[in-house]
Amino acid sequence: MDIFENGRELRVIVLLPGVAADRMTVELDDGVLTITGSSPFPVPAHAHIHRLEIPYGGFEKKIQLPSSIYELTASEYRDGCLTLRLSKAGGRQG
Amino acid sequence: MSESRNHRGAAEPDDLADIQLPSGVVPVVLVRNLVVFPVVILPITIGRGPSIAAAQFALRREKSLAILLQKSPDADVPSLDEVYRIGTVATVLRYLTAPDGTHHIVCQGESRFRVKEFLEGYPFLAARIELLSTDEAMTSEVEAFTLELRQRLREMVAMTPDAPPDFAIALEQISSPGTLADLTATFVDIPPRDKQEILETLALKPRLQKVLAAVGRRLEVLRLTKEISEQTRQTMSESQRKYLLGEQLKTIQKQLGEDDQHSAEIAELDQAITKAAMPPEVETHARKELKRLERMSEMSGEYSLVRTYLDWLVELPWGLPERPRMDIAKAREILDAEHYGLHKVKRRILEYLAVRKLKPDGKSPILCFAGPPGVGKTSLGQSIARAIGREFVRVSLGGCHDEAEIRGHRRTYVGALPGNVIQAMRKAGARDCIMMLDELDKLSTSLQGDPAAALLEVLDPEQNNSFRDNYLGVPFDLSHVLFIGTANLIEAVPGPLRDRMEVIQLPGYVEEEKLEIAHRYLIRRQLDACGLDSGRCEITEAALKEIIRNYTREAGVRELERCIGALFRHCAMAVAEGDESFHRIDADGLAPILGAPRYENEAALRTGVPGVATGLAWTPAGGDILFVEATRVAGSGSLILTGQLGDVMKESALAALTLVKGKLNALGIKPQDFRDDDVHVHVPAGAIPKDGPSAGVAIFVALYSMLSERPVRHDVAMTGEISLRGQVLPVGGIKEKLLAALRAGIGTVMLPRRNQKDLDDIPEQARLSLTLIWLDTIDDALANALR
Repeated sequence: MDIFENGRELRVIVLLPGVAADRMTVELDDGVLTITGSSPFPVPAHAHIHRLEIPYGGFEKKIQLPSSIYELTASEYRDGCLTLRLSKAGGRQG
Repeated sequence: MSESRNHRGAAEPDDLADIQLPSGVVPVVLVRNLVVFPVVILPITIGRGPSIAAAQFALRREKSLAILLQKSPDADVPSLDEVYRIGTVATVLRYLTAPDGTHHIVCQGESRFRVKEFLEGYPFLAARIELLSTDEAMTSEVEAFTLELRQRLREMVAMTPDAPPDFAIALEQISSPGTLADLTATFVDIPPRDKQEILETLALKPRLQKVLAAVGRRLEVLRLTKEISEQTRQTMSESQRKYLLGEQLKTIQKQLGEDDQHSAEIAELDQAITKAAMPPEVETHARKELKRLERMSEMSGEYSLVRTYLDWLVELPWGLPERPRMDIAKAREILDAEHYGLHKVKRRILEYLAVRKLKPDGKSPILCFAGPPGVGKTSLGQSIARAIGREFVRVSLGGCHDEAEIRGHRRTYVGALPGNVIQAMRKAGARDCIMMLDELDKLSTSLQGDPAAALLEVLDPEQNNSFRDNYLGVPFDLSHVLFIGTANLIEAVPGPLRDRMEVIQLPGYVEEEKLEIAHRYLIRRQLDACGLDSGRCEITEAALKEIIRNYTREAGVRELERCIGALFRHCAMAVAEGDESFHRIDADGLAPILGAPRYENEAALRTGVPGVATGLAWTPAGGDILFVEATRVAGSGSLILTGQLGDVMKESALAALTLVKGKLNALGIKPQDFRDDDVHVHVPAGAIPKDGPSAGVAIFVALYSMLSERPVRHDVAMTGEISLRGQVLPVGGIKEKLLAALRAGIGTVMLPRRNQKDLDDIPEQARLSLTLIWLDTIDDALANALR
């Protein structure tokens, strides 16, 4: 993942390929960004597995943000990347 | 691939598609030798059909997989009793089928579980499980153990050479003591059985303790391993360093063009071996040694040893040199020119030459010259060498006490060399040289063996054609060497050695011979030594005679030569100071230069009174006269003997006294008169020890003269042992004694009749100048000795 800071705005880009946008939730709690979601097994249960490298199933990512108070302003999922925009709420440390 | 197909057969999609597992039941994978802990991600290789089916099933249904350790890693289909009941539930993260047909999964442990029951009827092993919760309570004890574990882990990582760098960081970041313990247990190198035990320990404190113990053991092993490998590396690097340096040196030598030196040396030795004309046996041996040398590095210590040995081998005279035909007349000429008299020796040498001429391959004689010092034994050897045109080497055996000095040391010893004999052969450079073994009588035996015994082999004509020196280790032919031994005292030469040699006695010289020697050799030599010539000074015949009689008393001519030298030095001094006149030294001119005469005619001086008789003694220096003094003083009838007399001589004096007592009647003395008198016999000079029975006659005559008060004739000397029956028994050293008598100015010598056989050896001169009286009994002595 990447985290960019631009003035009062923080941009977080998380790679989440193969996950449907409606199957993920983003929460911001006390400076920790939590992304949870799941990607189901893509084939019928009777298919024989030869190789499996892409992670399936539920996941949870916790991201510790640079210390400040943030507010989630926008989220976009495109090309397998989840881009989150956060703005600094006060400018003072909480 | 057949195996993998079988496996797939066991996990055909159709088989698995319809399977429904009750809740609380999970597919199980049995592993042979690893334990998956919660949180830890670990790759597992699975090969058995049921395991593959279980993994496939879990993945497809997005279920967890239970991983259990089997007790025996070798069992392919373990019974359920042989499976541990506690394991870890894991999520499969990756699945890989390798080209060789093996299946690999990467799974992450989630939680510990216990098997409640195994379920039958599935294409894989299934079990109803209950998850186990662990106690993660943080107490101060747990904290202390955790700290200790971190410390140990840091040490362990530092000592593990190929530990991934991230590993240390990862360990530091783990905050949960339980996870730290589990992760450590995963990676520490301990048997799976021990890991299982840690897995089964749910309480945090004992789990930490077990992990700590395992890490501690591991740390100890690592330390030891490191120590051992360091030691090995040290020794390895030392020898490697030497090897490397050696190789570098070789390269440098090659660059400098010194590489050929080694092979040039070998080639040179090879030629030398060819040239040395060794016997076949020796040559084979030498070539073998050369081969060894060729393969050796010049750096090795052995190289110089073998090199020295080969040098010795090639430098020895193995072949017989070509000698010109021997000219006996010329040899006689040389012998006569260089030595006066000594006819017997010269004759023996000429005989040898004659035999050699007739039979060139005959054996050389082994001679031994025995005689007092200064009679020319050594110089005679040199002159024999000149006469027959051979090399001359001298081996001095005086004080030699070690067998190895004759026969050498074995090559195994440091600094080993051949013995004296082989060394002398190399020095002579010819196998038919003349080897003089000087001072044979001064060999001594010590702890290092008996050199005389080693000489036996050298001097035995039957054995010495294959004399084996310890150093050489190959036989050397000494049979063409003309050995000449010398000894002052032939009796002191060990018997077996004496037996091997042809002893030629060189008795002392008589006055006329000494005169002749002085004229022929000594004067010329001393003139030369002082830088004078016969035109400047001269010693008269009378002066020479005076020196011989009153300034020297010796068997040889050494002292005579010194005296002549002193006279000439006196002249040289005058000449050097500018005195141009001719110097003639006469008898009366001796005293200012040489001092007062050192010897005088003691015999005439000392036997004018009754009780003194002149005896004759044999000494290593050639014989001397001695006086026996007897006197009678008031006392208690005992016999006093003085003058450092030995036991034999004391007994001889007792016998003489007994004999005299038997004649008291004839003398008109009553035995009781004798009882109150002591008889004292003294033999000057008192400081010189004397021994032997040969003074018996002289003691008897002295005692008789004392009692009868008739003096003994001063020009009579006597020798002989006495028996109690009054007989005179033969003694040794007749030649030397007669010459001593002659030197001392004695006119008549009384000898035991049974010594008449020795007369042949007595120099003509002595025989003519002395009146010899042969004694049968002591009465003959009395008849001739008393005035």
